[in-house]
Amino acid sequence: MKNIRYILFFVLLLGGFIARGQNDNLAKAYNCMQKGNADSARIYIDKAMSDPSVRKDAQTWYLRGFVYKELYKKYESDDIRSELRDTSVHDLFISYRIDSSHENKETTFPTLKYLAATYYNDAASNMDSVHFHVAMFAYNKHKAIMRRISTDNFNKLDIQFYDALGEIYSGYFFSAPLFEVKKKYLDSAHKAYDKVLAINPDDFSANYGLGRLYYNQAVNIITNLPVDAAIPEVNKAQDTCAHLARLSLPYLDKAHKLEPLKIEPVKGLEGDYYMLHDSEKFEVNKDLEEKLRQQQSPKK
Amino acid sequence: MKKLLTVISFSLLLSINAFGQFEQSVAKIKVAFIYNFTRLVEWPADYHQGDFVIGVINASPALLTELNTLTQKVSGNQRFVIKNFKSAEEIDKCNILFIPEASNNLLAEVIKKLHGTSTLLITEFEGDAKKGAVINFIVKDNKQAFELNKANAEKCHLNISSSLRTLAAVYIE
Repeated sequence: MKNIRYILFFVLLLGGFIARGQNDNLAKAYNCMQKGNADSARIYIDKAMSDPSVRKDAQTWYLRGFVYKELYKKYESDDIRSELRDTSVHDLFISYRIDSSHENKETTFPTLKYLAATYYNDAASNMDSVHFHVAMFAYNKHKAIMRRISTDNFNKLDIQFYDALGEIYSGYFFSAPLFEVKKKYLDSAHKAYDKVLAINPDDFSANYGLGRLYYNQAVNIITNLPVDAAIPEVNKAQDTCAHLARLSLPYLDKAHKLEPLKIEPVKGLEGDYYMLHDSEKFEVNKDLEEKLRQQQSPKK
Repeated sequence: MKKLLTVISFSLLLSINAFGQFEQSVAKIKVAFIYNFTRLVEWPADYHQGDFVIGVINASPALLTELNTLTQKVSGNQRFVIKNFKSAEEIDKCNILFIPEASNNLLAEVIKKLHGTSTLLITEFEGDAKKGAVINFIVKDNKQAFELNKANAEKCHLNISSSLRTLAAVYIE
């Protein structure tokens, strides 16, 4: 069905070019595309674009966007910063903008959706601790396209994206050796989780992630406390830790309520209460952790 | 044109080893206090010879790990040595002896064993400062703090610095 639609579109496109007596280069570009030769089509369509009258034509922009999309697939599908893809997106949007009747929409939008999906996949496949900046770049490109062609909201995707990002920043926070570096990743993780909670305050991962961040920040302060620190300095560190444990508690508590069978939030609550020297609540959570472990251990 | 790409999703794995060692953190605070006590308490001259011995009864692994970090340090010209005793009988000459809460049932026996020595006895159980401990760890405002018993210190011929007195959450004359 889609193929028929494109064939019809190209027939109309060619008809348009001929009817308008437009330059030869357009017809040649079209012919090249019909033969599957996007490389030659690119030469002709770029030449055609030097004619100002051609640049006012939506179908010409569509053709060029289509040619560049094919070239992107052929040469740069592994290149996150592919200029061929950027050009294709750019041209397709121009085509849509100057096509006042939006008669090209049926063909322009699926192509743009395809390109948006390639950005999304680039984002997802690069969402790891090494390439996450690339993932952010690609995800923003995906959103920028989709915002213009769709009324869908991004809440679900944003939650997935920023939960994953928060997890990556948290990983860096835990492993970074220097306090200054830790602080940077801590702030970034915080921002990522805050974005998720602004969309859905009941998101398990963000609640758990934030609770864990505060908790580990406290542990980190004590870990870095020199053993020969004077008592006032020790007390100051304890004050900070108690404050952080109190900040951690509501997030871990909520994470536990959202996923009562998960052990990790309970383990976190245990740690918070231990740091707060609340032995009663520590024991309650320790018992609960033990129960959950027993329930989840494979039965013999 | 090919059909729309298959969209892959962001994988979210809560894979980070989640919670740091809380037992270790609390143990470290206690050891930091103990180290401060070594600087703010004056022992009789015969305790300035040989190693500076910090004894502990049935230390948890976390506490023992933290105490062992002190062996990198010195008190004056004395090396820190950590001894982990299993019972009151095993106790020999120590500058400091710490009875963790879990071993508090041995308090009376330990006090008997330490009679006539200048060992700074540290405990962490409510009421122990009135039962013979010089210093008793307590929790105040969600924090590790300590109470100090002047009379018990004097019985052991320990000279407590004025700054340690002011840092005590409770000072028992």
